[in-house]
Amino acid sequence: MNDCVYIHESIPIEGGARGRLIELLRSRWGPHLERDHGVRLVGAWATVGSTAEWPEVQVHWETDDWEQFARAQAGQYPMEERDIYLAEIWNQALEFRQHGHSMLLRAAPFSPDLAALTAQNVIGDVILHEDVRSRPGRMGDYHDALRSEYLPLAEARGLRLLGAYEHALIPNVGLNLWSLQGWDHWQALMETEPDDTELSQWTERQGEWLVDIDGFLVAVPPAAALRT
Amino acid sequence: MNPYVYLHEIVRTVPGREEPYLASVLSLQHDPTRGERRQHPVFAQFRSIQTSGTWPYGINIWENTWASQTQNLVGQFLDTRRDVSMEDWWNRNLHLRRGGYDRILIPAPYSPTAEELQSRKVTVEVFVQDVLWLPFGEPRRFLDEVEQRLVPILERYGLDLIGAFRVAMRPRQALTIIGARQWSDLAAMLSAPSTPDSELQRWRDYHDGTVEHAEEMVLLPARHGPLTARRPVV
Repeated sequence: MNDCVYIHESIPIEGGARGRLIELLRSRWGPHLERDHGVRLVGAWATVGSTAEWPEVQVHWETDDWEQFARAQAGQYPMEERDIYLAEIWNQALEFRQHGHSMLLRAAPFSPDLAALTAQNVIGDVILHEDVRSRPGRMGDYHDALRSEYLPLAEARGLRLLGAYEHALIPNVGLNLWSLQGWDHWQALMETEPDDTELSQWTERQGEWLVDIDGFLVAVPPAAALRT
Repeated sequence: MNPYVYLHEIVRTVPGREEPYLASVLSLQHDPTRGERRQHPVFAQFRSIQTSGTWPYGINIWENTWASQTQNLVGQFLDTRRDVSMEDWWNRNLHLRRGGYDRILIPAPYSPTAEELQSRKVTVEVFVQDVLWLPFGEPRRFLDEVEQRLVPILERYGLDLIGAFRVAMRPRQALTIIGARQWSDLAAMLSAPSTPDSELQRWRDYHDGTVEHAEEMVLLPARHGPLTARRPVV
């Protein structure tokens, strides 16, 4: 059982500042939120432009549970009164981004938390991000099938589950994150996909629970990520 | 059998800068500092017009293999294959484009390659691109229907199928591109009356009964793109 609460942010980038925002998140924003509010940075990734929207950054945060979530939010907001360091870096980052979209998520029961992912060294540099929309009221059934039917197929193909979530406020909206073993692994998955009968059957079967699922890649830029 | 995959980029250009952006993209092919990274020619380039669909956009389509596509991404995210000249170009062109939305397309077996279009001397005055959302499991069947039902109709009206694709990692989507050598050819098909038992009507019935959502764009070939019917005088 994973009781953690997650916030996932999709942030369009102004001009060529994608790397600079990620560097800010890694070096200052993430450490500050963890130290002062117990909010852990699971990942700060660049959306891989060839597969989706660009330029864009995806950020994934974790808190222990709803009580911790409430404390962390109350401790941060309004930031001009309660967290002047956060207010400072939030305003500095306006140069890199002007708007974004955040989702408040709860984990599916089988979804691992950051501690488990870290202990098993699961998080890699290339991540498959899947936006999920279920048929009305079917997200729970989809998650059951994801765990019992698809997870074994995915793991047999080298994918590791980073998280499966449902939106805490909006019905029938979810998110899956999968860790790949690297770029060669992704290439191999794509090359074998047309003839992979088991995956085709799963893809077709998803229509029983889902309205749509959109996958794209996100990735960790190099350490000095100031390029684009 | 088409052995390639296609990077399809819908680029939000700065208004009025569609052609400069598209030409700038092609200029990378001539950059002598890029060495062996210059080998992938563009499959097609389009620009939006205010006829149908959202604007302003520029569209690039690149013909790749999975290996070359992967190497392009490695160049962006791993220091071992860093593409400094591309990074420099990307940052210098911020005044021409604001962002975009990309897909990787998997062609139907009959979808023509760049070489096949070139050998048939296909040139186009106007394109219609459709991004389609279909039921789970339907995109492959839809592409089969395109080959069996739509392609013969296109041939009758003198239109060319430029591409028919599934979308990698987006199992409900398909994308088709049709080219007309003249606007009047496109208008002839769109205005054709359908009798209940005609091939055109049967295609329309299947299409309208299967497609759950579509985003269409009527597009012009980019001035320097490989399929343009109106080469500039230089």
